[in-house]
Amino acid sequence: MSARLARVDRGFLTAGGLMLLLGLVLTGVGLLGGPQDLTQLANSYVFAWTAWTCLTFGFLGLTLLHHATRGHWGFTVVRLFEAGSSPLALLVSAVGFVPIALMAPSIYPWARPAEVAADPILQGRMPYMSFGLWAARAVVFFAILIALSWWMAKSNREEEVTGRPNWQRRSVMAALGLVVYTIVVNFAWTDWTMSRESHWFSTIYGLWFIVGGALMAFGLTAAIVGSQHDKEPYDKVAEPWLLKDLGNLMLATTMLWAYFSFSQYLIIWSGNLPVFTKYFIARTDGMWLWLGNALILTQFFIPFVLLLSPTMKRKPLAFAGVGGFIFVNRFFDWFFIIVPTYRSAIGVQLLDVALLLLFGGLWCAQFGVALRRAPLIMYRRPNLEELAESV
Amino acid sequence: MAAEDTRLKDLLPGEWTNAKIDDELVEIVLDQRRHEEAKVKLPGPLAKLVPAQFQSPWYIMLGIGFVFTNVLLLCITILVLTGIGVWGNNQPVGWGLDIVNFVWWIGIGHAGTLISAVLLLLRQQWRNSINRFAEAMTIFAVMCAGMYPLLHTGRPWVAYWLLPYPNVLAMWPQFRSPLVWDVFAVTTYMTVSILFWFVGLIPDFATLRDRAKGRFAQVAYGALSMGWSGSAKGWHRYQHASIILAGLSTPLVLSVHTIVSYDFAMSIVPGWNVTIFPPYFVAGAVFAGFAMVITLAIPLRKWYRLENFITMKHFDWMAKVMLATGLIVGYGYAMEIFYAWYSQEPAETALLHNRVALADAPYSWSFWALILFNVAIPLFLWSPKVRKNLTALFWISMSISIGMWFERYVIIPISLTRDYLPSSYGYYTPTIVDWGMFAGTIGFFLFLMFLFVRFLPMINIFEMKELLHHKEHEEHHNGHANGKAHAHVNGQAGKEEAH
Repeated sequence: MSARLARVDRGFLTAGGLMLLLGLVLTGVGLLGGPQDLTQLANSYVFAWTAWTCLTFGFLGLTLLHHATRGHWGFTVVRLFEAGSSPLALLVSAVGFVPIALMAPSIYPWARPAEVAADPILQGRMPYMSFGLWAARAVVFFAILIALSWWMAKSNREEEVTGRPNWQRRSVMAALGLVVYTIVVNFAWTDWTMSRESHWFSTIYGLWFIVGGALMAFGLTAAIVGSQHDKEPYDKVAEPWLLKDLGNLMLATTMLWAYFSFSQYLIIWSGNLPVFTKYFIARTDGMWLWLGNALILTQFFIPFVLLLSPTMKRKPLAFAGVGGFIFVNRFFDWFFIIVPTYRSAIGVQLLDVALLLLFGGLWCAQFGVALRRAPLIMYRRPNLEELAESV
Repeated sequence: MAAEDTRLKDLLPGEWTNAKIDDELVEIVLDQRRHEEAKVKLPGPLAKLVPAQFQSPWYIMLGIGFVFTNVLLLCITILVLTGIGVWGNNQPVGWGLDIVNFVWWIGIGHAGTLISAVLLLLRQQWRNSINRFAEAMTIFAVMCAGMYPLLHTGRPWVAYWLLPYPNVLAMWPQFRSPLVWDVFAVTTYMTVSILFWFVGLIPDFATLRDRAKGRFAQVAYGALSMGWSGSAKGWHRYQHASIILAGLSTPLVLSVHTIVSYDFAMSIVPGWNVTIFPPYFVAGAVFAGFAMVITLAIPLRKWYRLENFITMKHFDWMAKVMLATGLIVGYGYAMEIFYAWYSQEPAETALLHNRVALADAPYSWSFWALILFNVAIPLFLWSPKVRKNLTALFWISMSISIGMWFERYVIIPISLTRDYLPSSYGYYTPTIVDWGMFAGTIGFFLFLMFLFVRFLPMINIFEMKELLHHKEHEEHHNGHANGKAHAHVNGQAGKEEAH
């Protein structure tokens, strides 16, 4: 008897619809419920938008990494990577950016003329950090990322449909693309989130965001592949070697995230210079400290111990659980990174959840749509039994 | 396809048997004439001075190494008798060429650990023919590195005070200092690297023991092989030990250079208190390490006719690793520059000016030299033609070694010359003892490397045999698959004819 078909697209479309509906209702309730503090509204918006945009960027990074290295692990999941970073997903993020631009004075100190006039550091960053150039850069960043995503998917699909190998060219383009991607994403997050802090800066910030996004994407991929292991087409490919490779990559990314986070904290703590410490003072104030401590456990120790276990990586459902755990906890980390800049006491506001659901709904819906455009796994790929034997 | 990229026939071209591999690699160690076969054309007066049998690369390189090892000993003697004032270190430049060289050497060692441990765990078979001498390189590089901080203490004979032990002086290391972390990181690194290297050598020592003709060699290699008999139990334990050591070594690839970066990043010196330092130091170390592996592998391959063991595929992979790590390093420089400007902090912008400005910045030449050697020249590695050209690859690797030295020079003395207070601005000029020690450690490194080449197998013999086994398996498998396809096609044709 043949296995049931994995309807990942349908699942995401349904979930997306529900999240979108709930998000819209809650956002409506939040907005109509009383007078709004625009700063807090913008804060919630930036958090929700950043979290889902990081997932899209994370998937794009993994797509490029797969095409550049052509590791065996990628052939079975590259469709998920491509769907997660489709031009449509990037376009959704780009459109979602428009309200951020409109609310810029409530988000960015450099967009408040009075503050700039009184601050020589903000003046020194002009005109680079002026609204016009900042917005123009955002357009350029999205255009580059959309072009990268579109070209990679097109090239891969062409090879699959025509059977003419073009992977060498794609591999070189992906390597170049990774360089461009790293630079673009680094400067993008400097513009969009780091510049919310008036003076604080950290040179590892861009890499930290890149790794955070990649971890999120790996988590969701593991959750999908693990939970659908007994359904077509994953029943043929969700073999122990694939789960092991994906698990090891997730472990390495978890360690890299912890390494970057800890190094950044330690260096700033040790230097103890006011310009740097204020970032962590805001995040160790009151209950924020407990969220920070919890993240050390949920983003490092727990997944680290679980992913070390070979037994766990042999059980698809347990593997899916770990992936899901990492994915969900990433949202708490984005909350910890974004929200304390403008909120001194910890507290989840209705709009935080509402906008997260709204963007989540949009993201899931576009993911479902993108998954429908191509088979879930590449059918023209190296023989998987041979790959399994070679491992 | 990726599977095609790593075809084993590309890693071990030609017709081989286990015995032939033994003959080829064991001969380099046991047949001393192999070291005199290749000849070097010396310039006129030197050709007359050096006896003909010593005009081989091995003797020349060992000779150069020996001369500079003596220079090193001379410099150390002057230093110990006089004090570290013989170096160019001053106020405010407390760390000069000594620490530059320490970081440079530690970085070079990283390729050995990466190739041996990380690539073993990642099941990368292209590591097999280059891991042994990369591991040796690691150990010798760490030896060169370790002597600098020891001598910098001024009284190396009491360097054991850095270790925590109960004592009547009530001395206890300052555990919050990354310099103390360095002591633990580097000693652990050295210990694990030696252990890994030695354990990997045991089966090859046994091969040398079994093939040696002379009694002395039989006894020496016999003792070193620790009774290895090649039993299934022995191999089983050996493989377990290798995996455990690889597991132990892998975090060391990250931790050692991370802690070296903390030596700087934990302070508040502008240009040092930089959060991207840990990953960019690690990437720089791998970059420098692979550059040194290529610098050594190209001439050794030629002199000892190892073309079938160290293939162009190996160089291509190594060049790609260099390109990737070089890009990370270049990204690190760009981030340092951009965020120094972005910060608009006076100390950071002054540092930026001091590094890049062409006027009123006495050291900016070294920054631009760094960009040339470490960023611009390695970009040629994007070209597959360059990656296949050994002359180009050799000079690019040399450029990277020079560039990585400049990187540390830019970070360490230059940052120190201009601190927060303009009144304490200074200038740094290395002395002849500084340069003598640097040249001396290069000589010492060469001296040890060429002794290693002569007395120990520089290519892992048993791993090459294992590679041969996999290659035969692959060929058999492909043959079988082709045979099946052939039979299938013939069968179809037969059916059609019958029809």
